[in-house]
Amino acid sequence: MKTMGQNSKSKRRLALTVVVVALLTAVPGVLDPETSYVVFLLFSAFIYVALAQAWNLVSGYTGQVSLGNHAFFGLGAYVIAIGWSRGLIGYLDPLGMLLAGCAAAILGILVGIPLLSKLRGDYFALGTLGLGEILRLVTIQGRALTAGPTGIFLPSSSFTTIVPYYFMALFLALLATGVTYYMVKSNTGLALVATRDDEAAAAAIGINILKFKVLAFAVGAFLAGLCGALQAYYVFHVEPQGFFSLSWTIYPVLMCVLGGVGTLTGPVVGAVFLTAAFEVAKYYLPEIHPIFSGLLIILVIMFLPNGLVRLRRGRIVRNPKAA
Amino acid sequence: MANPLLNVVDLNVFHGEAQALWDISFQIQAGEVFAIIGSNGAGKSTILKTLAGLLRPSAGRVEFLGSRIDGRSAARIVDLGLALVPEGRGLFSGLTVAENLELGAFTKRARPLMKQTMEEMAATFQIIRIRSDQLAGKMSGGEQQMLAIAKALMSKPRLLMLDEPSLGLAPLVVKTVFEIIATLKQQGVTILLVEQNIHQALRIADHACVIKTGRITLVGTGKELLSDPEIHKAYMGSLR
Repeated sequence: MKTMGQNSKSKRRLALTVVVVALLTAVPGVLDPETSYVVFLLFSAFIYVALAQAWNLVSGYTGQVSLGNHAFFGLGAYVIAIGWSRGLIGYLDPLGMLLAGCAAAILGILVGIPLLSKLRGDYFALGTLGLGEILRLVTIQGRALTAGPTGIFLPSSSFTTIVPYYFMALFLALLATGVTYYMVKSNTGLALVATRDDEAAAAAIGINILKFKVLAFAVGAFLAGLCGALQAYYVFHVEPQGFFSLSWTIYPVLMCVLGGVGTLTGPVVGAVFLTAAFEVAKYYLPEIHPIFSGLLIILVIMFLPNGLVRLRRGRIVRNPKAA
Repeated sequence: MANPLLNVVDLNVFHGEAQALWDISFQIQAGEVFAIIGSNGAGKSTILKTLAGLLRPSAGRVEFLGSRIDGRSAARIVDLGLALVPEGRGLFSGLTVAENLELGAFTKRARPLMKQTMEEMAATFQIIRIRSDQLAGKMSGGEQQMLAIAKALMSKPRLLMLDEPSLGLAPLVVKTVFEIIATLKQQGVTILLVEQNIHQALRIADHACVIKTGRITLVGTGKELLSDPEIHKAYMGSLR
């Protein structure tokens, strides 16, 4: 049951969300999207928000630390590349993106069932890490289907403006945050947190822990697959090294850690902050920006292990309904 | 005698290579309190975990309401009406009292009755009335134990299994916990109680068994075992 105070807080949050989304929607109209760096920066940040929420759902709320999001991201990209290059789907095709997300989700279920039923903790993380490497090698060896290590070139002449990418990325960020919000606020969220906190106790009250773990893993994979699909449409060249790069997993993890793992707003805050920080570093410190980024990662883990969102609250919040 | 609510026949359980239970057999009738007593490491908790579906027996069978449940998933077993309050209470410390109770009614059978059951729990347990928004992890040990029992009752169990409910509690709180168990017994709740507090357990139990290194060594009514010289010698010397 919600108190009046909680109701007014919820209304304030909703109003703030609507205002922020309205402002973000107006950005390409206010700034020149073809020359403004801010538009590109926000596009990147939105994709990272979606990726960070995907990881947060699996690892933050369900407690299954996954290092395999780049596998689902890359798979989503290859579904678009293979489908588009063969004329099965079109440019920025929503059906193609849905297909990419579903392919990633199906892989998530197929891999999730054995991994999540047999492996725990670090071993599960290592298992998922191996998945990305397997897919990278498969695409390198994929001959005509994946065009090997060179990858698949897509018709870049289709590109006219960044505006549709911007809105699709914004949609993905909102979708990922909305899906996470919905799952966390429902009974599913309670089951996920219960599974994270104490698997034996969760099983003892009748929660089918494997089912909920696989559900979270598949939803996370779906979201990562969608992000990979959009990135494929943006880059027009899908190749194994870039799309199965571990950075598609590690950066979102870092963003969640910076913002607050297991909170709804943490990944958003972390993704926007770190995307901006990395881009600034690339611009001003082009020679040493990997060193700067690495240093930032160390500092975040040392001094902000509970995240910026919790720093504001001054305590660790484990309750999903409070996040 | 009526058909038992729970019928355990020749149950054998292994922890890896090591056998933990040998040919465990007992029956529980509806409405009674059945106690399993024994020292630390005797296999008491292993019995409960096996009945709850958290461990798989290598041999033997478990029948609940006439149907075999050994080998079924823990989730299905809870849905059939067996609820376990594990040792350590099994609470979710980062969630509130109300959320813990909500989780207690997670099964299909209990979910539609959740609101009504929560009112019943509030009537039985004072802490639920006054602390529903408090985090479970911030409650005292006794309060946590009450919440753990209430959480298990939220699933509308036909058999409530309590694993060491008095463990780590102050004597005054232990008394309250056993009063709650007595109240539940009066309400007709069937209880399987695993305890090291043998005196209290046997006083409340209709029937009981003694387990030693994974084997049942004595069976009888609570009264019989309470006056058994062997039991006194082995477990209650200091209480006489």
